[in-house]
Amino acid sequence: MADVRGKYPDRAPPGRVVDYEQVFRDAAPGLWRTIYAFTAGQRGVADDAVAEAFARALERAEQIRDPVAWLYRTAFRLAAEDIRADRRERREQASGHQQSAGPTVGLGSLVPALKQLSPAQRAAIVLHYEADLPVRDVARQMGTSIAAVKVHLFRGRHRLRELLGAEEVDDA
Amino acid sequence: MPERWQHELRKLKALEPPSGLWHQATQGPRRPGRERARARRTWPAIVAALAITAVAAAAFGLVNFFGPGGTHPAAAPRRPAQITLQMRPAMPLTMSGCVAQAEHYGRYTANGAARICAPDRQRNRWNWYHAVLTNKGPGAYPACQATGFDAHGTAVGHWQLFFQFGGAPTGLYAKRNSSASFSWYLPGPKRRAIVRYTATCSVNSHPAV
Repeated sequence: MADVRGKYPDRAPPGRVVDYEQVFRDAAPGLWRTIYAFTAGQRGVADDAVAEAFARALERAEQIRDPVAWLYRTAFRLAAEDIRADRRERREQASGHQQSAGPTVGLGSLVPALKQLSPAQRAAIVLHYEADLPVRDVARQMGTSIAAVKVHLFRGRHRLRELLGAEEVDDA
Repeated sequence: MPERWQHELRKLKALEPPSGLWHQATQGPRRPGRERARARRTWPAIVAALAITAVAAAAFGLVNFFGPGGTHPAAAPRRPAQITLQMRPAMPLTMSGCVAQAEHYGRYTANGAARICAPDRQRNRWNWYHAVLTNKGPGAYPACQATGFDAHGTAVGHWQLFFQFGGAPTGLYAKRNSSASFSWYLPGPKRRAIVRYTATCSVNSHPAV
């Protein structure tokens, strides 16, 4: 993520042409994983949000000064809309039906744990720990304060420790 | 060493997005944008606001028309009178004087002024008056009504004054805190000798524009 941001600085000069195909190659995998985690494993929502964010970016390329930050914000918003719509739909159906989380190979315990977090906690956790953004940038992406992000991170970590364990493991 | 939850979180890095995402993106947006969605949400509100305004305006108009103290729109003036008109009988203006006045107040062209000033013999068929119109309020179109009296104090006629020389079709515009002095004629045929006038004026809120 840091490398990607370096390539596409926050304040691109007016008239600068951004190669969005290159932006996609550099940023889309990280963005998709982030949204995937944010949606607690809803692969379809992540696919749709990321593709839609890029489609909109292509449509208004000349107006976007910071493509990666813009894509993150847009994809998060789209995914959040989908989550809300899905929640409404499920309430209306009142059938307890859960949308399929898609394949979660190797993520058997992570996805259910992420579902136990609030959307804000998930967003803060994945942006900070998966996308490697500093807290200040997480706050900017989420449109909230640094203090609020720290609270979300603290509570999110606490909950994940409860759900997944706090013991140290070999990362190899 | 990382904690287990961090270790689990890092497993996300093994995931790859599906291969068709870029192609899907190049097909263009599928959902309405935020601006379009906002516009969709906003339009009903605008329509509702316009409807409410129209109903309120209609209600206000009805109350004005039928309510106590209301006046008929034909009487035009609504706001408190801040305009006064002092009139006295006067000799007809000469053609050149009439044209000059119409050019000055009404910004008529010479030809347009000549048309409203009419030929000499016609001008003599009208009752001419000299007037001082004073406006102590904001700029407005005056709406005046005058009554002419003969030497016996008998009212010989009532007129609504349009001050046509002041410009077509709105008539004379009274600038704020100003007074205008002019000579003009009463509409309609000449009445018997008028020795004095009384006049009342108010603001014409609906000038014929």
